[in-house]
Amino acid sequence: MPIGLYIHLPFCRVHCTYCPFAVSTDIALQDRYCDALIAEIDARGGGAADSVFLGGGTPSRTSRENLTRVVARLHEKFAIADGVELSLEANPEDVTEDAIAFWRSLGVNRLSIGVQSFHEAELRPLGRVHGRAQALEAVRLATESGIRTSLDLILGLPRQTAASFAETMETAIATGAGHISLYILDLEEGTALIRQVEGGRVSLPDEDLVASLYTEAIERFAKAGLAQYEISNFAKPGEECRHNLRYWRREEYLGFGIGAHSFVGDRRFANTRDIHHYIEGAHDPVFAEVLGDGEVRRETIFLGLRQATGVHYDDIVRLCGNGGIEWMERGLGDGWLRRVGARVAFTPSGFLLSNEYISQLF
Amino acid sequence: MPDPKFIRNFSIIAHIDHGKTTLSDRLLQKTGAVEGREMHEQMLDDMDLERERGITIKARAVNLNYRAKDGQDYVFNLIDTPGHVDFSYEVSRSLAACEGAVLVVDATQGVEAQTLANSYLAIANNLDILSVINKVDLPSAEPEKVREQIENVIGLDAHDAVLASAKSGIGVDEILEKIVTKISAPKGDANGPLRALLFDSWYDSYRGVMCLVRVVDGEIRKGMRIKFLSTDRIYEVTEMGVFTPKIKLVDSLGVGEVGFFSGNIKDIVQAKIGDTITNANASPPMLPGFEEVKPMVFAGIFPINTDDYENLRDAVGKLKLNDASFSYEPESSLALGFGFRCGFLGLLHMEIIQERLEREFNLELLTSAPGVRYRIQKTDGDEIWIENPQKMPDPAYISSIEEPWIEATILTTDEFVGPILALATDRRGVQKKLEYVSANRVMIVYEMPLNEVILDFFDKLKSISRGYASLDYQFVGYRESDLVKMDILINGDPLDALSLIVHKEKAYARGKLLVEKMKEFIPRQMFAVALQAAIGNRIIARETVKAMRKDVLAKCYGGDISRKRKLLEKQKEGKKRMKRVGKVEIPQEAFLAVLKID
Repeated sequence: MPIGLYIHLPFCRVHCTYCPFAVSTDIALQDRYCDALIAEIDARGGGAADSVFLGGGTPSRTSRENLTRVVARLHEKFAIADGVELSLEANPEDVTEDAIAFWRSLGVNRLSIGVQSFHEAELRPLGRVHGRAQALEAVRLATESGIRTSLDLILGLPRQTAASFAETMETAIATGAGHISLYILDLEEGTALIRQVEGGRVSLPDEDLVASLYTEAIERFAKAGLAQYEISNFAKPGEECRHNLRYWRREEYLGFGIGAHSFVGDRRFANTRDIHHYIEGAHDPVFAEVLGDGEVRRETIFLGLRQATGVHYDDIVRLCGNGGIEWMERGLGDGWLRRVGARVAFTPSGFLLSNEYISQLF
Repeated sequence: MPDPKFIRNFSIIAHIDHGKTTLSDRLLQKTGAVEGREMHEQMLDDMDLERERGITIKARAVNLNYRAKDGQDYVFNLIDTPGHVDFSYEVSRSLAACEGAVLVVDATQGVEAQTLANSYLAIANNLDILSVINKVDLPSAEPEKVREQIENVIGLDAHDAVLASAKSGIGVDEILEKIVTKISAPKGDANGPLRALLFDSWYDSYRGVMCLVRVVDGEIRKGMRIKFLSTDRIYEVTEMGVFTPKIKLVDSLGVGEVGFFSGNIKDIVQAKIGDTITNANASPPMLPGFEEVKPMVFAGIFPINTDDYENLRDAVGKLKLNDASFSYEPESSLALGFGFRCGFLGLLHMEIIQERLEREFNLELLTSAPGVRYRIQKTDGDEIWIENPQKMPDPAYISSIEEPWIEATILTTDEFVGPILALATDRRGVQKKLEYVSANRVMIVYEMPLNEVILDFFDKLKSISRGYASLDYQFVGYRESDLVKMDILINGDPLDALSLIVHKEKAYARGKLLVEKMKEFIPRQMFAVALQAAIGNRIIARETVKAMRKDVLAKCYGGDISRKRKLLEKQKEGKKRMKRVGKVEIPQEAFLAVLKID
């Protein structure tokens, strides 16, 4: 079976306040980093792959020379058929006609643009470099070029209001992009934002407001032809991200670069997040676990339930026994779950409380 | 067999922390029972829990050899007594096995409530009392003031009280000598039929029930057939001995001697503390003071995990083997599933049992609010006893309810008198006495419903007196009260195990506090949760836990599935500590909050 490939390109102009990922603002490291990345690909590469995701960080910030040699090395080490999904994450300020043409020349056929919001009052305090005009321009260039285009949006940003969010959403729909990721803001440990919020310097929109905006967004996107297929992801038919589906379907993938995770057989493992260690050749996993029956069972449930297609009724019965039946019937009765043919999936309000409800089944 | 002339049987009595255990250890060391190097702190308290809490739970007796200054060898039996009001019957039986008591009073603290209670028990048992003023080497010691208190408050002649420091060894030789000279030798009829006082018993997994006895008349021998007078049950003595403190086997015990025997007794209920043991074919009069011990405090104990019911049943069964004063019967609760309604001597006893169940049997338990046993006169003339609020009949069928009352004796420095009186009054107390026992020390005596005392009265008393007030109490009888049953409802369903019986005038305030407190501990759920307190159909207090609106991992890409899975697993773990009632998950803390509320 072909696997998925994730390549982590960590360089960013600014470390955004909400971002918990392994990123680096020291662009001077990029050549040495890509040397290490290529060494890792050489060491671990082999076999066939049918999805590639260049994520970050800000992959669009990586130099063309480096992108070229990394992608070339992937092709040398893996059998990657023509036309398989190859996504690249880009920030609006990097998206130009020329850049798009270059990325396409590498085989990139899907662009995921980090818009987050169309309001500068919301963007600036986060550390985002772009503004509304730049974001609109980037998305226009991408969609007009014909490349599959996705927009990342965040719900629950400081200063965001019901009106400003509605406007961002409408603007995003109007771009005609085939895919939108709408993430409810998570306050992550270790980020600048969590310190600001805990210190009382920044406040977040009311939780009840965020919850109702989320359910309204699901409805609005559906009307625009963007069907929800995962808690935070919406797509026109056929526009779903093949690579991300892999994670939720428990299909295998290899991750290269700092903080990258891999899933092979019954084993999950991850690379160091420390860019200096990585450059010095630290390729041994800093985290590894072998999944037992319990872990597989719980993963199957929670990853399945992240998706709008949910989990097959029989699978929940098989995995959870009578407790599972009671759980499903209760959820269906109380409106947290809905039936999708022989499957059971979360409703919009169910998605909002999915941690709580899934952990009742675990 | 030693001549009774040369035997001295005594207990050490003291308020908690006044130095009873240290002095016991010192006597063991001085008489050579324990070598200095094998001496570990607090030799007599052998259960971990006892050591941790610094309280002696089970009495033990140690046999010591002492050569007095007159050159004569004496046998001392040091009988240890429990140091808590919950166990006052056991204390009284241990004292009944003695001719004397060494009264230890802390020179820096003076006479406290348990000093008084224990002294009165000793006086009631006609014991010779040797006063020891301990910790005289501390800078804040005021031995003369304490001597005065012993004379004025307890009414003992303390002119020859020993000034001692058990810790540093001061006065210990003098105490040993005075035990010989001040405490009477045991007297008894060596030729009469056997009469031995059973003053402690416990279960030993190798020997069965061990009986600790003091021979009053006659002799008990290995192989002899003996009878328990209260039950007429007959057993054969298979093994006998004394504790030195190691077990030393003997063949017989005569008048005045103290030791243990075992006899294939399977059930500790057959070895009732205070019972008289005699020859199988004799029927002498029973030794005075025997009572059946009755639990005074009751609570439901439920496993948090309902699958643990069988384990809990085994565990309470095993504990009961070792503790005749603990009682249990199955209880089922709609809210909490299957468990047991347990009876305890008091709150400390309850805490000890709960801790042992959790620790020794690895159980996670939920305990309902403690209550007492009520006597109800029904309109049809029937009289019933209930210790479970759920069993309270409909008010229409009740003509009167009576509850147990106690007399509480509180000793305090006078600066705290005001708040203590306010507390006692708030707990429906009736003042019986308020007396200055020395320049700034006050003795306060109140009668109060026991139910008001078991709800953290002691903690409250300690906190308002900065730890200076001490408390002791005794049961005085049943009295009629205006009581009602209050229910706690969660989303309209009564949480049966949380029902309680309260005084009518206090129901509103208590119901309000209760639901407020529970609200603090019930996390937001997927829907709003209504918490109500009700008397019958009347809602007297209400609080709402708002519904949770979002709890979702928005981002789940980049391949880090493990972390997300672990977050959910952790969330699940958190739920294990919660009890599911209908759809609502209630953490144990919420139940405890109800228990702790004042």
